[in-house]
Amino acid sequence: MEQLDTAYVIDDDKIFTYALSRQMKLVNFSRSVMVFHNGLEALKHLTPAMASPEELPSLILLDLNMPVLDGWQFLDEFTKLRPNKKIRIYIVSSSIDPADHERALRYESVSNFYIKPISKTNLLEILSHMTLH
Amino acid sequence: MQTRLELYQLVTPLAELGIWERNLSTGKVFWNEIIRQILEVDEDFQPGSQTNIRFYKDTDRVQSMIESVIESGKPQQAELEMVTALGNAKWVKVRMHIRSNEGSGKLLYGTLEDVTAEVDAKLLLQEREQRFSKAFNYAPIGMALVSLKGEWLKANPSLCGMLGYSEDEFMGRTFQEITFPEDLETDLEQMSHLLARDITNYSLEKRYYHKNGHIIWALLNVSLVRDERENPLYFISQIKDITEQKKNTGIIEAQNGRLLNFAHIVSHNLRSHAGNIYMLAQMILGENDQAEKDVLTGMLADNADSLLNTLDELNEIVKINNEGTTHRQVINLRKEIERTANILAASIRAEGATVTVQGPEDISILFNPSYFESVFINLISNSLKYRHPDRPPIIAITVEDIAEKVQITVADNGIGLDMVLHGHKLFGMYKAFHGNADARGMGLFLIRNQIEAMGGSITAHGNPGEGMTFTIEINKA
Repeated sequence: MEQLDTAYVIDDDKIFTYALSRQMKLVNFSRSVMVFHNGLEALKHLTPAMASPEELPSLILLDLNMPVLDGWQFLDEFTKLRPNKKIRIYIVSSSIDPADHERALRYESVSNFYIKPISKTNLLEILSHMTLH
Repeated sequence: MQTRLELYQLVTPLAELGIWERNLSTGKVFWNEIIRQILEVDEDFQPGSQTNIRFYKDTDRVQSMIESVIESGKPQQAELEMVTALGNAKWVKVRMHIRSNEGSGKLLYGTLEDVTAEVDAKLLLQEREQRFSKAFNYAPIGMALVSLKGEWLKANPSLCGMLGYSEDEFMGRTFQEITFPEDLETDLEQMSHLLARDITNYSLEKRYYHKNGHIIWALLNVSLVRDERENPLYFISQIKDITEQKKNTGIIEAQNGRLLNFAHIVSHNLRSHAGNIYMLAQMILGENDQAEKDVLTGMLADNADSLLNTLDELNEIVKINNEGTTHRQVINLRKEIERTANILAASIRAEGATVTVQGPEDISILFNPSYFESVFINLISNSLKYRHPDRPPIIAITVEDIAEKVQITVADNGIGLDMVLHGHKLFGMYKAFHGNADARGMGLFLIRNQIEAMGGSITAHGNPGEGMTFTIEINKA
């Protein structure tokens, strides 16, 4: 299976991001994984990279419940950026509230919603979906 | 003459009109065939002056009628009950008059009609009206007759009690006048459907204004009464007071909302930890390097720790909502706020902060004392924690009397918060906004729960760089 270039993980749970990035490495998910602990950190990194598409990630795994700038606010800000590269966003959250799922899928940039914990199978599923399209 | 008599003989049986005559001197009586039919006597029956009267139930009344006609010379008529020769009860209409005949003296004459069917129908109608009027006047729910234009025609005592108007006061008004404006259109629309025969009745929940101005929630049921030619006459409205029910439904809905929200919080927080534990365990099992295994095991232990913390915190919230109301005491606001601020005296001094408490000294509320402490310690220490670096903190606490409620504001000159960005989740669980290491996002969530458990509310406003103001509203003791 093809490998992705850069993937972002945006989540404030440090244990989760550690475990997730290790699993991503194990399945050869992407050439690099960048971890941000809230939406604002990620946004600060994304905004200056807008001009150079090669620096932009092709995928973002995004948590919803975070301090400073949460997943929703990140999505709102991200939509305004209008990147000239296809960036797919997958929500990875502990929320089982159906209202959150519906709301997330209303964002055009959101491809799917995964409930934690995320398994190796889930990662491979995302990867095959990404490389097919 | 001959033709007229013939016609008369034809018409009399057609009209079922009994005709009789009695000669007061001779006692001789004439009955036509119809009279015999009404009385159910056979052809051989010989009427006599006394035998005739005995058919009537109220013989005295017939006797006095006869006497009155004889005395006054004016005709009389009456509807009377009688029992026929075969024992059947009947209502008859009796007309009588008197005339003098030169040859034979005074003659009493008249007619007799069987009106049993008409009288029965009339009595039935009277009974129904009486029954309706009893049901109307003693009904435990409000009832009214309303004209096609909406004017009150009749209102029962229950409705008068419910809406505060006497029946006379109702008479000058329309239902439109005392209907809550937002609910009027639906009612009028249904009314027109009823008039157009699209429906036979309708029910709706609507609001009326009580005479005192407050709102009464009611369940209204309306039907339309038409005359025998199907022309609409008036509406019958049944109006049930459901204000209390509405209030309770509101409380239950709010409670359910809070419960569902709490269920989501519990699920979310437990899942975060459980998910991590699962992932870490999987990784430990698949790891060959001992040093890496040790790192992962350490993380697993940390995670188990924070899972227990989370459980304690969730338990705390459940306790607030369960036990809060059972430990309420009368609390003097000014005194207790000043006492609580004093607990933080050391931190206040260390930050060079000024805390002022203003407002009337005699206002008290019913509140759980430890929650009260928790609320003000949290608010004051938040103001100290999020102070502006360029100026000493000023925390102004004001108590204000607003009608049945008390308003307490806690205003600071700290770094404030972007309310557009964060306002909606300020009081949420595990929400921290400034990236402070010691901010766990529990304080405001806890005190909101504590205040709501006491029947109060808390709101916030503020601007980045300009400070925050928290406003608490609660009923007076």
